[in-house]
Amino acid sequence: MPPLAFALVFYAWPVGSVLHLGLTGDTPIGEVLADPALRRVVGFTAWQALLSTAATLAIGLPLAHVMGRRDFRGRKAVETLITVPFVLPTTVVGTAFVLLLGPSGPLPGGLTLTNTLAGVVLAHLFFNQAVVVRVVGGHWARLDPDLAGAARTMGATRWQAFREVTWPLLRPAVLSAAAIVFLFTFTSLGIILIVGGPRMTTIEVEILRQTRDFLDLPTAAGLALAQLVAISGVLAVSAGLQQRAAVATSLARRQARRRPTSAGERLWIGTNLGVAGLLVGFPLALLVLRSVRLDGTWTLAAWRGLGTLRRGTVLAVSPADAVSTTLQSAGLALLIALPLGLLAALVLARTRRRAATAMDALLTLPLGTSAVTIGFGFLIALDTHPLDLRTSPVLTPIAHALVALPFVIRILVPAARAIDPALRDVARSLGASPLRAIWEVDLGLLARPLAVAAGFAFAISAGEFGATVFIARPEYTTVPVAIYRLLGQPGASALAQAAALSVILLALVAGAIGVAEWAGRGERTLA
Amino acid sequence: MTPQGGNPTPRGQAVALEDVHVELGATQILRGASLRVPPESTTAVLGASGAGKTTMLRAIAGLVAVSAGRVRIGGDDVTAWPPERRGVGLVFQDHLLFPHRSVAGNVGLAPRLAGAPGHEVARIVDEWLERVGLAGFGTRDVATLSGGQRQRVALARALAGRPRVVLLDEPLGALDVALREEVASQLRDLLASAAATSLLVTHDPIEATSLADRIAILDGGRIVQDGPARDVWARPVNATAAHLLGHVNVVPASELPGWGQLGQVVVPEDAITLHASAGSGQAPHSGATTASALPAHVVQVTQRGPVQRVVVTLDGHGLRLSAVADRHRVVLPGDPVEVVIAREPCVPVA
Repeated sequence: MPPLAFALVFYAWPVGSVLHLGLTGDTPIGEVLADPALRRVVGFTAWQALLSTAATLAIGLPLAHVMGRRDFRGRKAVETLITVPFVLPTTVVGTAFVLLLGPSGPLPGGLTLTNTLAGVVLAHLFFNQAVVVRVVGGHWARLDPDLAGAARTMGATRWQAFREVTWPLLRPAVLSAAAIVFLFTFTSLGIILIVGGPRMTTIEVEILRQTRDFLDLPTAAGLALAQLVAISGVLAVSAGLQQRAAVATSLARRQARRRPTSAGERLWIGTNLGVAGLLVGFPLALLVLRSVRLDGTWTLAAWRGLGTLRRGTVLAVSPADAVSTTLQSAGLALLIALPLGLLAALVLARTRRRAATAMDALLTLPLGTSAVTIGFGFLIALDTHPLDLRTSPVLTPIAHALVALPFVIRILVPAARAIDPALRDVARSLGASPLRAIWEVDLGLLARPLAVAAGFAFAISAGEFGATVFIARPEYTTVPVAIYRLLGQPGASALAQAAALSVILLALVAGAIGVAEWAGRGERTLA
Repeated sequence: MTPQGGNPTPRGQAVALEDVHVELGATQILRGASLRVPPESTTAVLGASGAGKTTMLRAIAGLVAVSAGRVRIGGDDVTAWPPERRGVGLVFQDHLLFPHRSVAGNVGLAPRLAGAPGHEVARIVDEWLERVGLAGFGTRDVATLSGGQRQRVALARALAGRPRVVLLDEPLGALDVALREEVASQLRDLLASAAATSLLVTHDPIEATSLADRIAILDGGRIVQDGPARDVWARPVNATAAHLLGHVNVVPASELPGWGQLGQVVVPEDAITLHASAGSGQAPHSGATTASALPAHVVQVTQRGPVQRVVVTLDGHGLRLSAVADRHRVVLPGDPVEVVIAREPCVPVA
């Protein structure tokens, strides 16, 4: 099975090498965790993730109520706007928040929040509120409003009905959203590096630093191991809590969303949408604005400069070359991930045997593994013939394909499961060979989901930062890495150029996903 | 005025809708519905699907806002009251048991919310589970219950709060045909013993008549007729009411001799007698004069339980009538018959 082989070679082996090094290296994990400086890093990582999760829930839950329970003009558009940040590359978000919170930013009284925990939490909030709104809001919209209504007729006040009925039924979704947000912020790299600044250190940052700056691979491996353990712990605890909280909810028979009926309800909707609009719209608008405004004048200098190599900088290629590298590697990642994902999906859709479940798990694992760990694994594992890929241009696309594969599979499996196998028999009875039958039936019916998956794979690859910053050689610098490097340089013009590159990346990613959604719209329903 | 939020009087109280209007979005669901349900009686509201039956129950329970008109329970104008103060027990069509609570957790919610101490809640739960025939089911997960058991838990849950009014949405609708008869009689006894005022809505005339002493007809967002079940059945006020009540023969007056040219006539199936056609050589079945007998042909014969149902077409105009035939007679499609319609049970409608 090609997908299995791919996962074994490019996931199990590299990550296994990291684990092995962490367990047997000169600095065993116990020693890593005994070092007070590193313990502080672990503690801070958890603390900032906890704060970010709490802030995201605080803003996201009211918004989930509005999106899941209320109907208003433009709801679909708001839903799209809210989801946009989630698919944005971290470097784009980082740039936007540096512009927003930095010394030259628009905050009143010259308030500067870059290099602060508050700034990091805000950027994480921007990123992850979509998780809460989609997961909890989606669940809320399927919850029958009459369940709470039934409690009301039994004497429950609005608040009691929420506490007795709605909240217990919503809890699994809230827990699952909180676990996702915690994991994302626990392993967040780009935001910490860019918004948090050079002195803020999380496990992810420390792994990068120990490897790149101090060449202390065993310590890095110990940290990666500690992080894997922590992630598994969070996943296990949240799965356990969800299991206990899970109940067979009755689905809404009627439209659960209704129009507001009072001034108070309209105010509630307006306030929440205002907060969401400000949180999502403002940083993105600022990004576009600052790419064409330098030292108080309107100018396209930052855009014009994209084609030239900046002298005396850490950037080895011109920004335009970085765009071309990104297009190539994203295209290649797409070409790797799509066929593998399709094969895996066709197998997973047809069998439920243990082997298939194991393969599913193995192919999903990269989702829960930090990008830096994957990049680090590539670096230490893929160094022997015939797999010495460290200098190869395909290394980056392979890493990207690995990260994109779980998404591709998740998109394709439900669609593949929905295909009635009898349709293939029909094709056979009409004279098609087995392969031809798959071509005519499965591929025909999977065309739209494949387009959606392709868009996501391309977008994920184009925006990938954590693994790329580890493995990409200077001559193969991608756009996210170029943005990061530009942000590390002093001067307003570098900042403006980072903004311009961010706008380009934003357009690439939004374009890919937009095209995918357009191609996949009105998915065929199968009886 | 009763004390606000005080203990609802346990005995059933009259319910009245006065010119109630309800809009859902841009759609008018109720357009001036008025109805009085006498205390401790059971009234069935008959309406077609989409007529606003459920909305009417929700308006009484306070789960949907009334845009005009009044809702009264006992002496109280509850139009602006929140649901929790109205003292209403609502049994939803698909039961809507709380999936995260056991059977006892479902039934005990109302007493618990009323502030009863734990042992008292347990006593009330046991009492009601016993009364609905589910003693010992308290710790069961509601997902493990059968349809009939869910129905009874939903009923116990609604009654355990000692509501002034019980509202039931198609209470037999979700049950197998085999269970309906049995559940209907249990339900009747239970509602009577709880001395509750009950209002149920349904589209099924058999469900309505087997549970209720009074029937109301909901049509076009209004109650167009209400009264004792027998009277309403015998005197439907219009063609829609006649159809809802289960009348099959609603025919243009001009098609029947002696009913004038305007409007329609409801001909109950048991108002029709079929005689062997004179041409067939058999003697007339009864002493009725053949003067009003109409020549017809049998088109369809179906056996429904003990009853033989015969559809005939009147010769000449093709009008179809459904009748109940004598069980001892053998009637076959194609047979010529003479149709005699007793005038008294027939009702002219607009």
